[in-house]
Amino acid sequence: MNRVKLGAFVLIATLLLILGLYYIGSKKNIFHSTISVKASFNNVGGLLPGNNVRFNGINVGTISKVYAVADSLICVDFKIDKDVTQYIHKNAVASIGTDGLLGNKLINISPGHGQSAPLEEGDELASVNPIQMDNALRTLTMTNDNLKEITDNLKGVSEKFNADNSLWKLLTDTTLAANVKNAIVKFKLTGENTAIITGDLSRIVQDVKKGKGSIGALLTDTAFSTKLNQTIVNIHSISDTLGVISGNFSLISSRLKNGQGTVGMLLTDTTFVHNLNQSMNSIKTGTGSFSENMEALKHSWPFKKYFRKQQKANKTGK
Amino acid sequence: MKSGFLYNLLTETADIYRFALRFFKEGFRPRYEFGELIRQCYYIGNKTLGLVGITGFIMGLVITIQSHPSMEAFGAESWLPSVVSVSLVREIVPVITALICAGKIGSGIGAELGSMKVTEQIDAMEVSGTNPFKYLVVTRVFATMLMIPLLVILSDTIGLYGAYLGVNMKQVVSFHLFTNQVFEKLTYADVMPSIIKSFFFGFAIGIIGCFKGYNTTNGTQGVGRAANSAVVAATFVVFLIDLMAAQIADILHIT
Repeated sequence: MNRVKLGAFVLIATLLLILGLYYIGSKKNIFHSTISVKASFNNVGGLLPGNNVRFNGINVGTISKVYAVADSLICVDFKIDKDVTQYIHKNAVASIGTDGLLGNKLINISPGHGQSAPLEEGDELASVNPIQMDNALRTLTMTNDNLKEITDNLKGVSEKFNADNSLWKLLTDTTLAANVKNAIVKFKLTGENTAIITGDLSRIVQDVKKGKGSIGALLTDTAFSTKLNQTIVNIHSISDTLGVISGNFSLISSRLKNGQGTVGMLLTDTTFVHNLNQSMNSIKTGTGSFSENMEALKHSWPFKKYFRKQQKANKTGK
Repeated sequence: MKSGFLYNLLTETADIYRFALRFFKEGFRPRYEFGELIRQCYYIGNKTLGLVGITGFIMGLVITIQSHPSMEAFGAESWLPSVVSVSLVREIVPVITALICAGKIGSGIGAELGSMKVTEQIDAMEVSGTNPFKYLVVTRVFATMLMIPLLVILSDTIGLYGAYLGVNMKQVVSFHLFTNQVFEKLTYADVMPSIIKSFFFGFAIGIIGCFKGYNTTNGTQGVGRAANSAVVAATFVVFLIDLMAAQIADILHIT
């Protein structure tokens, strides 16, 4: 009886071991019939033998060998389950990816474009080099910096937008919009007119070119142009003369300033001013005496009556 | 010097080495004691399975429950089955099983052979024409060598079932998904070293138990001492072998 129990114990344990090993092997495609395929990459980013091979996201095989064949070429051999090879064609593309963001490396096989024969033993797949995480991050950093600047600017703009009412008014004003519309319509009209005018103008210019009309004659007449030239020369000489005259003027004014000549003396002589002042004073005293004399005259008898009468008339007049 | 710690250690090591050599010399030479081997296998295998199974189950459950908070902190709850299964299969179950067996089987063998030695049954066996070393030591060491790997496999299975229950305490994972996740991450490099090292665990437990029992002195007092020192030495050697196995696996890149 004990021997039976022992037999059961040993058998169960061995069976469990074999089952476990089989399950592990089946996950690694060891017991499936497989075909061997390869692909070459510049950089495999830490791919190891035993990593998964996926076809459109399902596990179809494992990597059996990773080895260098040149200074920048790594060859990867992998086994693919024979059952799925009928769906993978010779033009499929192999790329290196990761399981999740930080998971194990793996090879992704994606179908190629167009028709092609199914994959066979020993085929080499076209490859896409993996995204280098650090490169991607570097670019992302740059983009982020730019984005920050842009958003800062945008923030400033929106702040100004909020702070200033007039812009809102501008945006919400319907009459303005109507006006603008009108203006645009008028602009359009003006534009049309302008086009007509331009047409006329161009015709006129063409005429002028050909020497038609008075302006044309004027512009195309060479004799006239020599005359014009001469006139300009004359004007030039006149302005020269003017220059000489103004030079003289400047000389005179500087002399005046310095007190040269009679007028200058008159303007700069202080003794003369003093005399003039004195004379004015004498005149003032003279007028004062005269006013006194006149007052005395008012009160002398022949004129007294007249002044009194005038005083009365003034009072009644008020 | 003759009674120093170092002297004792060196002579003990030399004696165990000589004992092991004798085991290999006599073990592979006929005649084979199959009846006794099977009887010993039954006692060591079947009679220990219950204890080892419960321990394995509890370890699977406990490791899962303990790992859950830290895995949750990383948002990696879905990785729990894979992580727990790898740590169970690689390390925890073989070592725990070996320690339980060192306690149960090592002390049992030590006490059994020790009492036979002090009651002079071993000498009597020799007189009666039976090779006592073949009959007692070789069968027991082979039995531990064969049974402990099997116990480890069974305990792995029970422990993984415990882990399945532990995972389902906090989240819902179907049994199918659980086994898929477990065998997705387990590799031969996880399973084979653990099976191979449990052979060595079994050998160490058997040979030390037998050595201590076979060389018992000082009467019935010595029987207790033999059983005790068999457990202590076997436990220590199990950890030594575990350390060596881990380093060898690392050197050979079986990770």
